[in-house]
Amino acid sequence: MTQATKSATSADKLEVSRRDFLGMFASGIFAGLVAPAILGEVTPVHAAPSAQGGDIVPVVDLPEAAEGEHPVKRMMQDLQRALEKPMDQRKWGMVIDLRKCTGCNGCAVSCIQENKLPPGVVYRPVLTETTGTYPNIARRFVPRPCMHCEQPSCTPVCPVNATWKRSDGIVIVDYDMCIGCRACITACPYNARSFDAGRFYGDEEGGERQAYELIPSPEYKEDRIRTDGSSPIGNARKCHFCIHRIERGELPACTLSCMGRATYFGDLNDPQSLVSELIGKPNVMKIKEELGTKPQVFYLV
Amino acid sequence: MFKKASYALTALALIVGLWGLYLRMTTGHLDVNYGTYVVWGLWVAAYVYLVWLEVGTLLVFTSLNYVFGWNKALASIKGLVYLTALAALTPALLLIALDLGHPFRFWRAILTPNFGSPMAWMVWFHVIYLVFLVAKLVLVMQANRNPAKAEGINKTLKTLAYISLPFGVALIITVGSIFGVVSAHPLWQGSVLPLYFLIYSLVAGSGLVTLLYTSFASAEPLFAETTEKLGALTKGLLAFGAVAVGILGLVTLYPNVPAQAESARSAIFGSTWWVFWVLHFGLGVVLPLVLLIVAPKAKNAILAASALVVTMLAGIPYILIVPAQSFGMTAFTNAFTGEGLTANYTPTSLEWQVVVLGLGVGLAVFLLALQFLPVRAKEIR
Repeated sequence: MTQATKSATSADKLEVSRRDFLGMFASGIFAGLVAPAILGEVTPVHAAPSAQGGDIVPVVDLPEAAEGEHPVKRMMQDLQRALEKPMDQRKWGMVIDLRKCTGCNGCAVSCIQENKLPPGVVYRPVLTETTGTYPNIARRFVPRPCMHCEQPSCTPVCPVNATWKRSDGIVIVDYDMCIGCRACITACPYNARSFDAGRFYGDEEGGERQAYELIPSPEYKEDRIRTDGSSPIGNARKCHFCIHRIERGELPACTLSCMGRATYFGDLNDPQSLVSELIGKPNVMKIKEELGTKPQVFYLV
Repeated sequence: MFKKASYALTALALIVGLWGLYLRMTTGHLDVNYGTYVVWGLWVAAYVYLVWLEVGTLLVFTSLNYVFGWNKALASIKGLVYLTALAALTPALLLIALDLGHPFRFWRAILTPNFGSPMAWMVWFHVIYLVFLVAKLVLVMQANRNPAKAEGINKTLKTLAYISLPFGVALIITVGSIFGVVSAHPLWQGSVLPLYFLIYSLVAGSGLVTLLYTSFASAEPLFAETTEKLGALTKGLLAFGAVAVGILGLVTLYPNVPAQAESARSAIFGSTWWVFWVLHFGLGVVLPLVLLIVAPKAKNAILAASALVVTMLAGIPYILIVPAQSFGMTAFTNAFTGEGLTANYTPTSLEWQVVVLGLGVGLAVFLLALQFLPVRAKEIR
């Protein structure tokens, strides 16, 4: 009995401490995510005191933190400023900080969720690059969306003008014009295009098509429902920087969902934008730059 | 006996193929293995091969008949050559249409083309080529029906042949350019591939003209002499083609730049090594050359050699097209997996069935036209 009481008491204590801990944890997350939006600014962040009660060590300043502004808030402001300009004066671009990418694939998942992508279609795979041999080994993760090249290789090969570069720099596909020859897929040096063969997750699992597969996709603001035989089935598909989101003042799904804050998006024509600031850094690079395609997705290394 | 076997083979091919067509029309692209990384597969390879045949046959025939003055010797197979080209062109168009994600939108490439795209040019050249081919075949049949008008018709045919010759060259170069402009695949990219397509086309064409002549013109007074000359031509073009491919292989492999060399190595030493070494090099180059060198005047040797040259060339477009697309895809296939996202391409049974349909359609066009239309002059028939 005494033993049972002792156990119950210690369990209660444990419960209380777990509850307290979760409460504190949740408050921390809430404060971190919501406070910047409410307060309009980011308060300096410091590392938690060590268990030994040592000195408070400030977190190393990140590039965007130097401005004292939350990157999402700043990118949203950049977006609003860009949308006030005529379309041909914007130039959308993306910056991906490879030092911050954790390879969580959150961007790939959010892209699939946002655009209702079927099996076999991927707009933003995250490649894993491993160099060296154990124990001297390094690994990095490279998200690979469409590069929205200034000189795209994929658009001129289309026999029916179904894909082109918009004046704001986004390379798009007109699903109703595309004949599904897949010349653009072979021509893209970045493998950024997919062929929609008409697969459904439900079919592959041997059951019925799932409700989430029949939701209209907001791509290109067309709200298409994928049905057999009609576009986008049979078409080439690709990342479009979530045009439907951008044009209503929201960041692309991959950018917003990046938990490591490794993806930045904005108007490269705006010298005040975060992306413009970041691509001015000396550690910026582009993939397959030697081809002269001038990708508009930049990597910080 | 041979005729019955040909019809039986055609019927069998059509039955198997029509089932494939049914599956393709009902399941779309679900039962094929090409997709996002290996984008073009067996059907595109078969299309390229058939274009080599259809254009090569006419290029060789037109050159020999009108440029080199073999018109008397080759007069008896004129209609057959045009019919054979049409029998190759029909399945070529069928296969490439079925390869499209939206076959019923093919008209867009004709009516709303992007002339900056080699593929649009290819469609246009192919349509023009088809019109010329049908016109020439109709004219030949008219001449065969009414020999009194033959002289006038032959003049028109000569004019048409001269006009269509550059279109044929343009078509083959354009098909090669579709691959040549793809900077994403270093094995394809460059000006070399379109020229090699022309060489392969001429090799295929010389083989097919020789095959047609040795098979159908044995009653001709100039048969022995012409057969020998055609055999020599095939031998020369085949040897030239083999040397050209050898040089290309050396130039590609020697620098050992992985993007090019690995693709080339996987084409000739990879899982499809037997297509190159056994079927093409062994049976399609070495054996015909040996036959043509050892027995340059023997009809059967020339017939066998030309048949081998034509048929064993069929695998070359496949090994040119498929392995090049697989190279460098490991990072992508590891990053995101799923059906349609594979770099290991092997044609499915549906893909083979549709190719068999192409074979059946080609044979049907050839046999039925030969049976019911005056493709050959009455006295020859």
